[in-house]
This record gives sequence, structure tokens and C-alpha cells, in this order.
Amino acid sequence: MPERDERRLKLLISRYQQRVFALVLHLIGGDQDKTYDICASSFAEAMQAGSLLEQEEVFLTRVIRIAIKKSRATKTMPTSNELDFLDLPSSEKGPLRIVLKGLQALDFDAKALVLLRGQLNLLYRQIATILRVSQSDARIKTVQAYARLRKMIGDDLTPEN
Amino acid sequence: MNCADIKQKLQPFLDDLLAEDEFKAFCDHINVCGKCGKYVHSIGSLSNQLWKLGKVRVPEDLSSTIMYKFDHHGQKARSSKYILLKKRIIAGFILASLIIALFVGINYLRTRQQSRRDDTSIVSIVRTEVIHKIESPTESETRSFIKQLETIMENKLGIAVKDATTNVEPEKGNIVDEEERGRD
Repeated sequence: MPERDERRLKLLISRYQQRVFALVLHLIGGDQDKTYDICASSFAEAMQAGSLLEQEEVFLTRVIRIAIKKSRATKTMPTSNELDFLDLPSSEKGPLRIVLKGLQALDFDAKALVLLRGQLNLLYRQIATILRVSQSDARIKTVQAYARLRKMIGDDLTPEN
Repeated sequence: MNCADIKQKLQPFLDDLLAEDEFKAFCDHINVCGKCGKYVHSIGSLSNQLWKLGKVRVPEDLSSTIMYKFDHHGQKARSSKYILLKKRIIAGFILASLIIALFVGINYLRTRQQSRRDDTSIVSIVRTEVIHKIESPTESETRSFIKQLETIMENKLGIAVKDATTNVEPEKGNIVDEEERGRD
């Protein structure tokens, strides 16, 4: 592989690996080993599939699409392992656990929508491309998924939290 | 979008009410501007909690594993391509053999059917032309029947049977003697 391509690949990996890792981790219920495998193979497949000179957005949507597909095929089981969050004070971990619990109670598609919009801050256009639905469908389903999550969390997550 | 816009658009952002281009501009700004990013994420909303869920620690060797898998995946893909080609060639060969076998089989069955049809036609000629004449045969009729049979066998089947049939004597029980017929 030319050195320029290799450098570009490493840059893309370092830029997106955390976002994809976190997405997969929460999608499959917190199993870090499975997340690691899914992430590695998703990136490898996405890099194999297309030219490195493509736009980053295309690359990102491709990686996420593959990762979601693999996560869906994985048998998910919520783990009780404490997640290793970066630079977060312990006072902020309480509300996060509440959100996480609510998230794990959602079905896979709703969870994916909430995470794609809320965690990765993707546009509905990108979500629609990843999930292969129309843009309006992506928007409606995301709003519905958010509503279900809010209902599950209830009053546990107040603005002060 | 500038820092003042962020304060103004914060609530619509948290409620997911921004238009797509505004949402993108908002996200781009808070990713670049540390002050705004800190301000936005300090607010306890569901969107922010979800965003914080993304801040998990990633194993340090993940990127090297990805690169290894990428290289390995390439080799695997190449070898799987070769195996696929090999499988296709074998499948093509088997298919061609089956087609040839089918063609030969059909031809064989046709030939066999044709020869059976020929046999049937000879038998029917013998029935129509000869056998109906031997219901009440006299000696002369029997001899003429034998002659006709010989002719047919020679003409249709190409078998010379003249010598074999010259000594055939008609059975007495079946043949009415001409003398007895004359008496009647």
C-alpha cells in the first residue's frame, strides 16, 4: 500500500474509532470484547470496500452501516461491567447510568436511531443512508424512539442532573 | 455560526428542532469552540447525556488491529476470489457433462423408440396382409400364405427363408382337405 494511503487510513481510524466503538458498545449491551472485534472488522471491511480518496462522510456512513449490521447479528446481552468513561467526574456518571438503562430497554432499531442522532450527532440524511430508509422515515422514527426513551427514563433525569 | 448564535439556538438544539443545515453548523461549532462545547454539554439534557455516552475509553491497540485486519482481509478476499473461480469452473464442467449425458440419453431413447415403431409396423402388415387369410386354410392357401410370408420377410426384413419353408407340411387338424370340401 502507498505510504500516503496508509497515513490517510490511520488518520480516518483515529478520527472515527471512538465514535464507532461507543456506538457498537451501547448497541450490543456493553460487551467490550465483542465491540472490539466488531469495530476492527467493520473498519477493515469499509476500508477494503472503497477508494481511500472518497469523502470522509461516505467512509463514516459505510463503517457505521457495517458496524450496525454486525451488531444486529451479534447476540446481545447487557453486561453489568462498569463502563470506562473518559474524563467524566463521578457525579456525572449517575445520570449516565439512568440513560444507559433506558437505552438498553429499547429495541435494537430504536436504540440505533437514538445513538446515531444523540451520540454521533448525525444528520437525518446520513441516518437515512445508513439505515437505508427515507429521510422523513428516519426523522419520524428517531423522534418516536426519543419519546420512548424519555418515557422510560421518566423523572429520573431532571435538568439539574 | 458564532458563539452568540449557539446561546440563541441552544434550546432548539436540545429539543431537536433545528433544521439540518443549522444542526450541522451548530455541531461543527461546538466541536471546534471549546468554550461553547463546554457550555452546551454542561446542560443536563437527554441529548447531552447521550453525547456523553460516546466518551468511552477505546482500547489502545484497536487501530493497529484494524490495520492488521485490513491487510489480512485483503489476502483473504483475494484467496476467496480464487476459490470462487475454481468452484465456478468445476460447476461449469459438471453442468456441461450433465447436458451432454442428457442429450445422449434422449437420442438413445429416440432411436430405440423408432426401431420399436418399425417392428410394430411389420407386425401390423403381417396381420393385415396374411393372418386374416388363414382362418380356414386349405393346403393351397397355406402354401400361398407361406409364400407371402417369405416374400414379406425377404422384402421387409431381408431374410432369405425360402429353403427353410419349402418342406413345411400343414397340420392336418387345421387344414380342411380339398377332397372333403368337394364331397360337401
